[in-house]
Amino acid sequence: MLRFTNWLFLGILFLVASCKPQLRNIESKNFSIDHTKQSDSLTTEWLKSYKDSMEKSMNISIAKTSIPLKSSRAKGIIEPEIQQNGNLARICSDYVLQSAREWSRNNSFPLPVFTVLNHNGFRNSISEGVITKGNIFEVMPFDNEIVLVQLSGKTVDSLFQYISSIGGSAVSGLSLEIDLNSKQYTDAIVGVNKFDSRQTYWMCTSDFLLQGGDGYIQFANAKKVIKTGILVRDALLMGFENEFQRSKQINPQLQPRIRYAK
Amino acid sequence: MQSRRKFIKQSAVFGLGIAFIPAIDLKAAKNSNRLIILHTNDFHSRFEPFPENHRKWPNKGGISRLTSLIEKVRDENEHVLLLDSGDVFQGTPYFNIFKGHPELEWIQKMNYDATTIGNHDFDLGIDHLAEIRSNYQTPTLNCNYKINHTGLKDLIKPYKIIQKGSLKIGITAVGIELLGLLPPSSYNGLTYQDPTGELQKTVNTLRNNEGCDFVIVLSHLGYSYESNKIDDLKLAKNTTGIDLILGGHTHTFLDKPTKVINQEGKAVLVNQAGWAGIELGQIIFTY
Repeated sequence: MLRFTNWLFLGILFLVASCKPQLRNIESKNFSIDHTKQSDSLTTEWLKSYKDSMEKSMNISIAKTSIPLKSSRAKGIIEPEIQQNGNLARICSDYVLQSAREWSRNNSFPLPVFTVLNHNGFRNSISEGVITKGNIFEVMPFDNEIVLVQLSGKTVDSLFQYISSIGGSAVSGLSLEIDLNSKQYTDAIVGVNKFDSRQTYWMCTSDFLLQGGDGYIQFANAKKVIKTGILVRDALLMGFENEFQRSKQINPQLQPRIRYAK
Repeated sequence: MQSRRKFIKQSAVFGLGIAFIPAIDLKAAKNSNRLIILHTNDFHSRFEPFPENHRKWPNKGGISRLTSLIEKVRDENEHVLLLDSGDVFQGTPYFNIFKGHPELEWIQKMNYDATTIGNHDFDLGIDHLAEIRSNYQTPTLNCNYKINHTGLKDLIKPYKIIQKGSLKIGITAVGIELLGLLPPSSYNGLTYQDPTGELQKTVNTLRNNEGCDFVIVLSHLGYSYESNKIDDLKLAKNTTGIDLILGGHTHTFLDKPTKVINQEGKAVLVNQAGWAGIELGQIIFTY
C-alpha cells in the first residue's frame, strides 16, 4: 500500500509534468498566394513609389518575340529535355559571344572561338510578346562580367568533361556530343573545327564561372585572362535590341549545340 | 441638442452594462493553445505577382496579398510566428535599382520574428549586406558562419528565444557553403563551419541551458541532394532536439512537411514554401 508521502511525490510529479506544454496535434497547409487572396491597399501604396521609379527605367521595350524563350535553369544535373528546349540559353550565349568578339576586334585582342555559361545563371524565362529592359534584368540579375580566357587543350578537355558530367551547359561556337551513360563527351566541334587537345584556345565566359562558380573549377588553370568590363546583362540587352532592329523578330537558333550519343 | 443628450444617456447605460460583464481576455478566445508558424523563403525581390502570361507562375505571389493574409492570421490567432529562411535579395530589377532596401523595409514592417541569410543576400558583397542590415532591426540568425571579423559581427545572432503562452521557443539558423556559389571576395572574412556540428551545439544550448520546449531551425542549406552534400533531410536525421526545420535555397514546393526520424527516434518536420512568395508556409501546433 502506498503511504501518504508516496502519493504526495506522485502528485508533485504529475503537476510538474503537466506544466510542460504537451503537443496534441500538428496540422499544416501552405497557402497559395494567388488572385483569390485579398490585396492590402496600404502595402500597394507603400510599394508604389518604388514601383513607379523602377518602371520608369525598366518598362522600356527593346524587342518582341513570337515564341516564349525558355530558361533551362537547373541546379546540378541538366536533363536532356531541358537542355534541348532551352532556347533562351542558346540565344543568350550567342549574344555574349558576339559581344566578346566585337570587343576583342575593337581592342585588338584574339577573338574568342566559343563561350561556356552556366544554365543556372539565366534566371527567368521570357514570355511571347514585348521584351522589356526589365525582362532582361530578370533573366540576368547578376552584375557578372564577360572575361576572355586562354585555355590549354588539356584544360578545355577537362571543361568538356565537366559539362558532360552535368548533362550540358549554355554554349555558343561549340558543339558537343555527350554519352549520358559514361558521362563523357564523344565528339567536340570548336568553331568549325574538330577539337584538338594539343592546341590552345581563346574562349569567353563570365567572371562568376572563372572564379569556380557552379562547379566550373577548370578555369583555375587558365593561361591568360582578360577582363572586358562588359556586363553579361549589357551584352544581352544589346543583342536583343540589335537583332530586333535588324530582323524585326528574335530568332533563337533551333539546332541544339549539345547532342546525345545514341 | 435633444439627440445629443439621448446619445449620452444611452452611452452611459451601455457603459454601465459593460462594467458588470466579467473581464474577458479577448486574446484568450483566439486559439491560445495553438502556435501558428508562418514562413517564407527565397523571396528574391518578387514584390509583385508574376505577370499573367508567365509560363510557370501566372499571377502568383505579391506582397500585398502576402501582407493581408499574414495580418488575417495574426488577427485570428494569439500565438503566431513569422519566419524567413533567406535569399530575400536578387531576382527582379527592384534589387538592381534599390539594392535591397525595399526588401528589408517590408520585412521590418511585417515584424518578422526571425530571419536568416542566404547566398544571394551576399550578392552585392558582405560589406553591403552589413551596411544595409544595420539600417533595420529585424532579428537575423545564423550559427555556422564565423563572422567575428566581418561587419556582420553584431548584426547576426546564433539564436533567439521567444515565449508564446506557456511555450518557450528557441530559434536558430544554418547557412549554405558559399564556395562555388559566390566569388570569395563577396564573403571576405566569413568562415563556413559544418552546419550539423554547430547546429547541434546551439540546439543543446537552447534545450539544456535555456530550457526551451520547442526548437525551430531556419535553414538555407536546401531540401535534399542525392550527393552527400548536407541538406535539411540529412540535418534532421543526424541531430537531436530539433522539432521543425524551415528550409530554403532549393525552391522546393511540398504538399505537406516531410517527417524525418532523428537520432533519438523522435519526429522532426521539414518544410519549405517554394519561392518568390508563391506560397506562404503554415504549420499549426496545438497544445
